[in-house]
Amino acid sequence: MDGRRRDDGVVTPVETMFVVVFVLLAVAFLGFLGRLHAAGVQVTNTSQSAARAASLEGDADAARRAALDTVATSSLATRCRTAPAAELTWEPSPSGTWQGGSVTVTISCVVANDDLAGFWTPGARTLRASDTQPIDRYQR
Amino acid sequence: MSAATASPRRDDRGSLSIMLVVLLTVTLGAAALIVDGGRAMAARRHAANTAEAAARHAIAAQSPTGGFDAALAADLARDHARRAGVDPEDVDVEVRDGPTGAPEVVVTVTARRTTVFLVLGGADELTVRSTGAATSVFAP
Repeated sequence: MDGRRRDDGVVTPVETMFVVVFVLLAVAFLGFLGRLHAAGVQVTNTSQSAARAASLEGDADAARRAALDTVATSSLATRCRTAPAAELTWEPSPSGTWQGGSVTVTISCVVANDDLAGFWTPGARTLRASDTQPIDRYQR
Repeated sequence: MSAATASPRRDDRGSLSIMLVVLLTVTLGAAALIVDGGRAMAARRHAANTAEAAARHAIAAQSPTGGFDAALAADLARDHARRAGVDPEDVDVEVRDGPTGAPEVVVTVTARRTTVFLVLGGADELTVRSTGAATSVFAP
């Protein structure tokens, strides 16, 4: 007998606690990343829908209203900390008209970090997405 | 030879470190799947959306009276992709006869994104490709 203690199967409470904390933090981190990605997809989808709705209108004013309506009725209304912002820009066709041009809708959504993490976390982040759609040439 | 070294029982010292390395690897792998996989999915979606919109924009260039100009259609498709923020070199346009004999525009967009976690494995860029097509509803 050399007097050395065997460590077989011995994990101290501190080590166990360390592993448990690590696993919990890893799960929280991965959950945060997943929710952040899901929120980004939501913003992208809404920008696409808004741009498509705008592209089907007959002029820029109607297009702006259509884009705002689309954003207001989307699921972003509950996801964002404040009302999501939508900005519409458009490029005219080569002949300078609305028809035949393209319209771009950019959406900004402020998401609270604690909504993403699932527990209290300071701060917020702004998610942005834009989409460009061709304006229907024959729309009136 | 001492009893300790002669024992067939395995010494567990250091096993916690091995477990933590495994946990860290699994966590980083999952994070890479979420973040870089998410970026790849978003890039593919953007490429598909741009390709479809560019094809639609190109096919709208024709009119029942004016006919269909394949070169103009290809230019319009590239122009729309440029407006959507895609490098013209990443856009391939093919104009061909569709199944009904009417013109069909097929646009392929290549999107590239830098990686966040996969760079640890040596992959610093993700490349995705997506195709969109639009067919005229009448032959010229």
